[in-house]
Amino acid sequence: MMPQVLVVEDEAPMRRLLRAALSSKGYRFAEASTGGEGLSMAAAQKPDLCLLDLGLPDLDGIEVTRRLREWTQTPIIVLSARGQEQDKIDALDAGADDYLTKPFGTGELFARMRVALRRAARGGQEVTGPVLAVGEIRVDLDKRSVFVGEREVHLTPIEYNLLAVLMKNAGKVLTHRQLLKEVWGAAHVNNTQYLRVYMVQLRHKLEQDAARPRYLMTESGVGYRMRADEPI
Amino acid sequence: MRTAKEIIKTSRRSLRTLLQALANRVISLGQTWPGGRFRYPLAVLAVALVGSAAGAFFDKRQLADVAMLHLLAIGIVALRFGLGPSVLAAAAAVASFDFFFIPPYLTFEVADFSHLVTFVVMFLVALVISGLMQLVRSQAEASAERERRTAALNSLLQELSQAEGLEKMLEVATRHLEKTFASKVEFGVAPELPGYPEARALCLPLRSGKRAFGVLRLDPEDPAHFEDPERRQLAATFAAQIAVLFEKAELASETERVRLEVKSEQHRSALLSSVSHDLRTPLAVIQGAASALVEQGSELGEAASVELLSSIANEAERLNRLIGNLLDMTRLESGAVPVKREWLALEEVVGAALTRMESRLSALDIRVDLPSDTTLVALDGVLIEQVLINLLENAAKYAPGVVEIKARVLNGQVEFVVRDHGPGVTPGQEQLIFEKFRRSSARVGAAGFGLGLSICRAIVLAHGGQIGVENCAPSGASFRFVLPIGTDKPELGALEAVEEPLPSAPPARSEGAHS
Repeated sequence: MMPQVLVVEDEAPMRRLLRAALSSKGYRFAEASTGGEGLSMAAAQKPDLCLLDLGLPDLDGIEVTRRLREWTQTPIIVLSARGQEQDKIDALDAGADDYLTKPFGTGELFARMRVALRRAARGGQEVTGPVLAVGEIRVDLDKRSVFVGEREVHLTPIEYNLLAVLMKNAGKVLTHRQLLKEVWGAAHVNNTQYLRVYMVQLRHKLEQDAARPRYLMTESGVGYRMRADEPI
Repeated sequence: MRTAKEIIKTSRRSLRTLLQALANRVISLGQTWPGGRFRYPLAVLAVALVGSAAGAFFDKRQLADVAMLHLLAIGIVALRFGLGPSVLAAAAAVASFDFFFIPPYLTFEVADFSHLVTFVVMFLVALVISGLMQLVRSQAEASAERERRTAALNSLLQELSQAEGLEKMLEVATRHLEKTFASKVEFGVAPELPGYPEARALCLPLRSGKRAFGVLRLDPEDPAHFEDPERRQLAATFAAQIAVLFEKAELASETERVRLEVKSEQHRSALLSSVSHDLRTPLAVIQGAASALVEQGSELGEAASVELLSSIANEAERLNRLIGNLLDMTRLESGAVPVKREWLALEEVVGAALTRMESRLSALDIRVDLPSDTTLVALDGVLIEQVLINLLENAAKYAPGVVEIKARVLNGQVEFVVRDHGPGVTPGQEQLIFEKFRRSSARVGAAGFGLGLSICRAIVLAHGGQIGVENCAPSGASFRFVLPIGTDKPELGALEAVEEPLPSAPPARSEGAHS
């Protein structure tokens, strides 16, 4: 059976568009126009994925995310307007899986949804095997070895940890805070410059052209994302 | 009769001039003279010297010569030291003349009463010369005082006319008035000034034409300061001049306000005409294509439908960009977008801009030239990306082909260059193209409000940087902007120290490396 998607969005034209797009792909669809309605529908229907607008009339989307995360790990993709970087960060830190900036194309929407659903199907962020692969990059978690194509790449421990976190969450945006906490520990969540320097180093070791990365993507003002390995 | 009067008058005048010149010289000497305390002893000493000299060099019968010498001494003392010492000198001279030179010698007795005339003359000379000197001296002092005040007024006016803003002007005026009048200075609206019981303070209206600015109050340290009418007059002159300058400053700021209003009005109408045209064009396409699809969807062939749908998609994206630019500009201008400076890798800023532009860069062949090290610069990544994107869009629109992006750190600044090989900028329009709603005159047909470059400029200025464009040989334009690199460069030393050579055993971190 196709996954059930809950859309929480106050703008009727946007809901109409999403309904048309999602049903054309065969997704099952439920919609709510306020945060409160969204929360109760989520509890009743146990959707497989939530598309959540940040600017709701009653509750703000960040609060909805927080309340959902109290009891469910169902993937949440936040829909937001441009220039709301801080809201995006807050939503991601509150537990949202990804965000899309309005206006967006449906191709982009379906790609993000597939990544989120696949990760959810794996059982949250659990990794299935000892070897992670995205495009040409392969990370062997047992041997702690990294390959780009056939070439083995030597990373420092921090570079390796950073890459491993990104690979395990491939396709998902990780905020600066999340990455710093994972790799450097909770005491360093504000030292974004560490992260910047190591991302540059990683790109130089892994990317063909570090200035035009194909894997290690910058989400400006928000964080980083390992490009998902998925033909769209 | 008349001529005699004139002669007397003329000679009096020339005498006065002569005396004044002499007095000025004496005063100037007097300023270096060792103190007034010694004036009286020095007067007596002068007479004693003259007396001894006369005794040594003249026969006692040459009484006229001796008397002249004494007169000379009295005259000099009168010139130099004024009335008191000169009278003392006259007394001393009479005494010494009588005692040493008039028989019977060495007594104060006077045998011949004709000598009494000499004595009287001596006193008269002392009185007349010192009196004249007093007059001349006080006149010279008064003129010096006037000169000083004129100079004070001039320097006040000069500094005041250079001061910008009322607050600064008040500060300058207060400083000068305090110095010139040795008084406490207050400006205010008349009823607001605190009342002083003593009436020694001087209150002057600051008025220029019909416009009253308030009251200037001078409260002198010396209570008698403003009893001198000349001082009061001077203070009034100061007040009048200050009022004139206040009015001038007020007029200037009024003119500036009107100028800005006119300019913003022009901007608004330019915006309106530009918005109505540029927003309607894509809307018209979308509306037309959509209604065609709704009304005759079945009659249209597959190819025609796809054509209409893709033009809807394209025009919608264009609309989105136009509105985004408009919003950006409005927010930047209203100051609603704060610059969030962070330490970022130069390479990442450029890279993120290129990634975001990827779908729209097909017309460009981009070459990137970046420093190979991990250079960190403090800037707002989202905003500077926008600058680079706008410059690249500009290039894609007007100069498709090879575009070079260069970034480097130079003398505490970070420099970005985006160079295309298109037709370049019309000479003379290098500044103009950064204005709102401007497009290069050669490029009128292109879509857009012409806001892209003015957004660039607004962002760069908000960073405290500069942006400009110049044409390059043989062709193309080079857009260049520099930003201050930022202070307080973050310490990375601690970070490096954490790093050890690659271990073979997996450390604990990698296990828990997910949330």
